[in-house]
Amino acid sequence: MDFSIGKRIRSYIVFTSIPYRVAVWLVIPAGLTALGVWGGSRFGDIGLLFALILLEGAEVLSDSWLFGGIQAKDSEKIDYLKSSGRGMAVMGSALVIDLARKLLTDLGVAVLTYCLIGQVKTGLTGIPESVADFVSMGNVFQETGSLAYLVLLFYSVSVLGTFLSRYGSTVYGNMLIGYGAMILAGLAGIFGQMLSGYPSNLIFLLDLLAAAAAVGVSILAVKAAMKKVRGGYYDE
Amino acid sequence: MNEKQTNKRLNSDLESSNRSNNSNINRSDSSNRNRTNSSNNNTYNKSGSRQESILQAQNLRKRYRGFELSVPSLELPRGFAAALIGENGAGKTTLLNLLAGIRLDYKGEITYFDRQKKGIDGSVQERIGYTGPGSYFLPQWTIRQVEEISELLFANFHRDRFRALCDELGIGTDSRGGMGGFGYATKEVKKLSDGNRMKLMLAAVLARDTELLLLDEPASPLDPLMRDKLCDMIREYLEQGDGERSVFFSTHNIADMESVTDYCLIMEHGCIVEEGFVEDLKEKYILVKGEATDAQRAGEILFSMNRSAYGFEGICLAGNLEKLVGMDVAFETPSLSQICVAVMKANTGMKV
Repeated sequence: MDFSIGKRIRSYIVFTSIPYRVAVWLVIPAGLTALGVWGGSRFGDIGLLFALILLEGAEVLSDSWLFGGIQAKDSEKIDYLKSSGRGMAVMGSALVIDLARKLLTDLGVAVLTYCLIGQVKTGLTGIPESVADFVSMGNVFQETGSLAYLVLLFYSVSVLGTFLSRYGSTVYGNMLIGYGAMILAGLAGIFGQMLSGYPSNLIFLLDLLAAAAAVGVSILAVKAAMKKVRGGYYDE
Repeated sequence: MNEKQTNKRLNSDLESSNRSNNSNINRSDSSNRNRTNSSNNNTYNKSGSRQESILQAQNLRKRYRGFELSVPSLELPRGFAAALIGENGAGKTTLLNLLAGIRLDYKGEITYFDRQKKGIDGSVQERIGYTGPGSYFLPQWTIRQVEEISELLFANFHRDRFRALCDELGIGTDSRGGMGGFGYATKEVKKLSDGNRMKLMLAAVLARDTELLLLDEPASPLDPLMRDKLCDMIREYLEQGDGERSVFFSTHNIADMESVTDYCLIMEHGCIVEEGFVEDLKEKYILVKGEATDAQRAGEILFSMNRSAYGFEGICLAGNLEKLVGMDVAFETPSLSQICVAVMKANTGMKV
């Protein structure tokens, strides 16, 4: 079915409850940005990493409000969706737009936190304080490349965590997967930068790898969920 | 006559009666229906081009492990409420799922409405309202989300009607009767009782302009008052359709739903073993009551029988009534429930 972008976005929105919208669209990104800026102004860009790590955990956990357990063996069949000719298009759109929202949230939190950390550190004197940095080094392209790597990396691991968590239907399972994803992304975030011998143009190679991973896990997440939902039409 | 012989004879009687009964489906004008408006007469006018049935299925087959649904032919009369009755595991839900298009792995053909094209697609689903047990909505959806999703899923969904139905059924509304605030509309589906969940499903399908309702066990989770209300709602739905709307529902609550049932299909072991308009079935099956002294002789003739120390009561095929001559028996018109139980007893695999 041909769905306009407006209807695709609406498909996602209708899957979200008001508490979800308040928490995931507003409170969590704003709170973590503030936390990242606070940490960043004292400990350097590690504050940014910290904010992104927590955001990732929150994404995995909050998915249980949205598509929790959708790929589980005893998953809900959602017969109401199947009783409509538009059901599968609505479901597919909701899954894709949710991924786009995740990427935008990662991007927004990362860029905002990074910029605000810079502002806070510079302070009123206009002279940057000396703190341990690893993103805000090198030229402007390398800085952008470094930030893009973090955004794509955290997005990929967050989607991977979400994908895995949808096979279970318990909050505790999601928490476990969320913690694992946070540790994995945190280590990859730090060591990726170190391995690239930052500041260097090697960071763009990491960007490409992270982008490929992001595309790969996105396709995997959408296809796996749709396969399970469509499987409800058959003996699967 | 032993039990096996009795069953064999009864089954052969049943088969011949089925054949005669199938012809009854097409002579609806001969019986006194609940709704005999002009549209219904048109619906059953063979000279017209209108289809008499709202849905036709041929050679429907669906296999699970240890179960097979096999329906060689199925026609649902247009403009009426048809009940699908049978034991647990008889295949009622499977049949309704196939008809609603939420199960697609089956053999056979289904033709909906007046379409030439066979099978189901989005445009057909738009005209069908389906409610089912179990996982129908996502449990984390709120009532407000159900409203929003319904608007997106169905072009013929009316928000105002949905709210009015929620209000009428006592679900989804806050203390002021509206869904505008953060009141009851934010309650999640998983926190609703089974009865309220069914009411929500009914509100969602009745808020649409449909021509056919497929309702899987709508009465089961409802209290007696609400079952009565459900009958009213089905009646109102049919009346508003002016002979063009039909309802097909499965139920175990035969007595509660009898007032709204025009046509009845009885399923056993994945097959339809009896079907017909209720009025015709009540002519075909007669309730017989007699003294205990005649119980043994009557037992060889009756389709099914319950004995007590004082007498017996059973269902007899109308064609076999003359065999009861000489016995001290009384005849009554059976209820639909009594007919269904008798037919189910004759076909069940259970030891009853």
